[in-house]
Amino acid sequence: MLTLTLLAGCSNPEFVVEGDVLARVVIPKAAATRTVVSLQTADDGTSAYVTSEKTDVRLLGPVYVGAFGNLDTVSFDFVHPAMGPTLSGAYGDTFPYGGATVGRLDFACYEAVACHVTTGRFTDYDALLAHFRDHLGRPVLDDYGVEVTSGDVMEQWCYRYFEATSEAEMSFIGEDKLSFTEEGDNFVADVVLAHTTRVDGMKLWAFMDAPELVSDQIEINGSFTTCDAGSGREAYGYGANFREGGSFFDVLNAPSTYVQYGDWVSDDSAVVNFDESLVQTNDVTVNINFSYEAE
Amino acid sequence: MLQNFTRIRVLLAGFAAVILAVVAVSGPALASASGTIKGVVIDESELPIPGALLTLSSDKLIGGGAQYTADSDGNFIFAELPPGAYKLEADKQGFGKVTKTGVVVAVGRTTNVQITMKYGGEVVVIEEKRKVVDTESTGNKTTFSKDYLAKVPSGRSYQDVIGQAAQVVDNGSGNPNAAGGAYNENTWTLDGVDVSDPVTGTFSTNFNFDAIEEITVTTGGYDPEFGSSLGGLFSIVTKSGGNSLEILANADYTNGNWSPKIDARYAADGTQLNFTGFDSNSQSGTVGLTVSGPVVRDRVWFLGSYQYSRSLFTNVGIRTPLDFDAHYFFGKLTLQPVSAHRLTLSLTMDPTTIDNIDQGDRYTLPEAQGRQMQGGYVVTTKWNWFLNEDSNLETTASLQKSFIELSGVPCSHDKELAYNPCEADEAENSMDYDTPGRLGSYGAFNRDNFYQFQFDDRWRASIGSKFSVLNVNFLGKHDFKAGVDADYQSWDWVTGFTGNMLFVDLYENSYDPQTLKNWYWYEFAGYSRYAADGFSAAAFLQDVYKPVDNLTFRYGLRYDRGVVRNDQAENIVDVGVFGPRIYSIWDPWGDEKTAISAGYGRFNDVGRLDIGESLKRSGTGQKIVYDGTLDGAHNSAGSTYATYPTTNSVTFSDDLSAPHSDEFTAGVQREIVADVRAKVAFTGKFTRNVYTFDETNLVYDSDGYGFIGVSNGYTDFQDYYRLRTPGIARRDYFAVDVEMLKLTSKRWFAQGTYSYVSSRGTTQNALSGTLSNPSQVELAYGDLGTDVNHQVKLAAYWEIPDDPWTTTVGLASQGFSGYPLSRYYWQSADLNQAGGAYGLLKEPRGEYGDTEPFWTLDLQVMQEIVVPKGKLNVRFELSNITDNHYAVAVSSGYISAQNRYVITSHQGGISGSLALGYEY
Repeated sequence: MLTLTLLAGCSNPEFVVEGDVLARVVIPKAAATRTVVSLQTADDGTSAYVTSEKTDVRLLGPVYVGAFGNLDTVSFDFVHPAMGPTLSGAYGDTFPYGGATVGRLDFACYEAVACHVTTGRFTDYDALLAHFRDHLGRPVLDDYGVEVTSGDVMEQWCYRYFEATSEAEMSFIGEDKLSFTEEGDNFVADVVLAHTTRVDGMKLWAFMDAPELVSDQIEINGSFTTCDAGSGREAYGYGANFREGGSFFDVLNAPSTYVQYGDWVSDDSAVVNFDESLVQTNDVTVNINFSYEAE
Repeated sequence: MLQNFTRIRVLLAGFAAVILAVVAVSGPALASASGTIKGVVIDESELPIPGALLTLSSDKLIGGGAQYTADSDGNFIFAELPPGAYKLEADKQGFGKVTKTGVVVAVGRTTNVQITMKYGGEVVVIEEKRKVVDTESTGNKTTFSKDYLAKVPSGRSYQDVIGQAAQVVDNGSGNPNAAGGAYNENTWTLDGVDVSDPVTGTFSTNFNFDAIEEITVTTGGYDPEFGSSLGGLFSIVTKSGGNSLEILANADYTNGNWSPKIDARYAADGTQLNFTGFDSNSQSGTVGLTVSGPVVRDRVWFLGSYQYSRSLFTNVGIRTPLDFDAHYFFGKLTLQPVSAHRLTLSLTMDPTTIDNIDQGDRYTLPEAQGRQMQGGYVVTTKWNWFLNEDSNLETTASLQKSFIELSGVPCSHDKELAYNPCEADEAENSMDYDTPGRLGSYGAFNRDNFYQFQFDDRWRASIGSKFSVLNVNFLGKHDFKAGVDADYQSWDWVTGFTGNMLFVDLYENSYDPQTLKNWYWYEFAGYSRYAADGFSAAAFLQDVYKPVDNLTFRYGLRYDRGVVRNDQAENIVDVGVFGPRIYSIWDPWGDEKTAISAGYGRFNDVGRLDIGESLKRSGTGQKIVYDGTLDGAHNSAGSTYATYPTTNSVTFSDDLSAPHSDEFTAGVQREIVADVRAKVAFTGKFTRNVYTFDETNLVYDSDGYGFIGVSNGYTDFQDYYRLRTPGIARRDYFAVDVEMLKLTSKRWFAQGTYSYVSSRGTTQNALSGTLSNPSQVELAYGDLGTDVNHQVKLAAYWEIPDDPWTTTVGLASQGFSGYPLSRYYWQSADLNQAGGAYGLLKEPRGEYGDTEPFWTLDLQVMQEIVVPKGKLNVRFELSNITDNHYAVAVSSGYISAQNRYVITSHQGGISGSLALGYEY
């Protein structure tokens, strides 16, 4: 037995408690149903913003999934992960065992849309342009302030901007890169919480940062509270430099900071079980089924 | 036979003495800066002539010449010879005296000489035919002679010369990638002493180019005595003086306005310019003087060399020029008071000051500019004890210090200078460590003071001995060598922020001071200090064995032990490993024109000090404070100092293996016509268990690019850092070299190599914190940054026959297929640098891409003018004469953060320099 143990040790010298945790994220179509604003031009040439209700996967922002030690469903006015150990008991300070996203914030070539684009939502450039024009009421503008109306133009600019050589490099575009699939009244996505410390009984909790949509404040439409405009690559724009943006670094440590009215959160956690060998033993589904609305 | 047993006993006794010496004096420092002449004396019927007296002399050989009495087989050997041309005389009563001239010695090579004496013959003097094929060594070696250094354009930079060797990719940093290794995996030796930076493994010393005698680049297949390196072995051998006084003076000057420039990025108002600019300013110049000669003829020689370099470079939009100011000293004293003992003392110093270092950010005001001081010294003592004709002991001790200091530029009242202006009551050259710096962001200027300081001191003390017993008869001929060395390294690094504060300012409207905000700032509890050390020791035993005249085996075993400690004196790396080597070289026709070689060697990496730093525990507290601008946008704790690394950091240093390369080489070289050699060589190199560092408690987004949280899950906040040498961290390298070499004859020289290279693996650098894997991903296999498939190197010179006014035209050219830009692999900031694959970002996506193929062509014209007591030479060098502008760097930020690359700089355009030299 000792020999076998030693051999086993030799065969896996890099054994660590971290590993992948698999889960399925389910979010109702209602989360992607919003009153959208579009800029419409009448026959006489005048333009006006028109509101309507639409259901579209492009209206789902980035989904953040965390694996936590505990959840507190009492302390706050919405289901909130005041979970596990805290720093000095400070509100919102917590440390997950691991996490992942379904889609991530990405830079889509133009400064005008920095912090406004989530990966896994757009089939092509035209779909992205249409989303900004028809859902958010704010057409994509190039660095000269001119509206980008053609997907081909945007593609050309993106290739030049990123020195790209293939469409595969455009992480925010691509039918094969869509995160969610439709399943009845829901959108579902499989997610891998990579390099997660595997602790039996830990709980998965998630929220979706929904894009801002306020009809009378077109300029903020489509922005995300989890996006840090001061992070990301510094880009050299036509006028002055700007940052391309990216997620705040503590979204999973302080989710309460970022969950705002309009976002969707899990109203309960999903438990993950492991056996003694740290092999995941159950299928885990995280439901993001609670709409956090103003009272 | 009795003689042979005696020699073996001498070998064993000598080796024991070396071990004892090491124990007593605490070790030696090895490598080699010498070559060997060996051969046989025969008569006309090819019978050996025992007892023939051979006398070797050269203006490179102190001591008035060396002598050897040929053994019973007529064999002789002269070892530990400085590179250069020699005269070899053979004398035997009854035979006509034979003198061979022009016997050339190169570092690490064996020059075979056959002397045929005629009984009752006349005295003859023969110019030795030069050997283009070394039939006793493997071929992965390129030697750059003094002639090459003078006549082929290289910018008078030894680093650039090294880049002209096959399988070496000059990445512009001065630390090339050799044989698929990372830029920090090379070994740099100066006169046989390892002078690699003990922390980073990079080159660490500069000196006057005129002081160099020869440079040898070895990319594989070398003996245990030369150490262990996963990259290349770069050996620089300096001149030693001689019996005649020699003075070399050199001055060169370059003005950037002589050539079109392409470096403009910003206009004065801050807008970015197109890729055309003529807006920056640069000029540089050097003056150098090298004097060498005898103190006591044949007994004491000296060499002194000094170079002053100054360059000014102002990027467009920057108010103060980058001011590079360097003094390079090199001194060497060689003493051979009696024939049995030679002592060599040398000192290298290269203090350098670089002011106004920030030329990349147009927002930096003069008072916020930084100064970098760097340099160091190397003191070396080498003692050669020639016990008898066949055995010698070489002992070397050296002390090396290098430093890098970073601070603000001292203030000046000289308004013309426009450097950091002094306050009215401030003394000239005051340094201000109290005023916090303000870094501009979004249209604000860096101002008030340079924001940080750093004092970084590195030491290496080494001592080593090697003992040789040569020409041992035992089932053939053996040349045994054994040695030991020990090396202690330490590092003391202090870093902090001026005034223990750092403000980050924001203009809400670009460049409008009226809208300035203190956006946020850091408060620091004090400076941070990292002090650590390590040591390494090695021992080797090797033999050059010739069972028959046309077959050579070079084999041996090397043991390397390394310990690297962090600031808590924890042994982060603690390994002891063996590196066997065996090579065979066959000269099938015995005509010394062909060498067929094959062999295997293991090379180990027992660590550098920066590996321990990856698991450091020292740090300082800091807290970040926001003004109202960002309220509600971020919830970082602003009221308490968070120490980084945290005092309760958890570090994992698994049972580490020493990273190692198993290298297989094979090659054929043949002299096809007089002075011309063709060579084909194959290298297969498999590097395993590369150092891998990561922080394991970061939570990444779905694509593994940005992190969205810090994981932990335990009761206290902890950081998790891990150092491993996993088996999957590996590199596979294959290369085929085709080379043509024509030695100088009929006034011209040419060398050309083509290398086909494949370099794939999971990791590139031995270790670098900047290359940390995204922690949730596995190491995965793919093209590395060094996977430059096609590499062409050409060099030539032609001495135009217009004596006595010698005009030499030299050229150097290099061409590369593009560098791989693996979209889903981590890539270093500098395309040419050791970037490339590191961690696979979750899943393969995108296609491999390559930069455009690029090439350079440099030209040098040198005109010698004979003047009384010497000669002048005027040299004009044009670099990149075709003005190519291929990409040389990409933004690492895009690749690591967004899986894209953006080219950030291109090749410098055509440039010229004019130099004047004088040789006495």
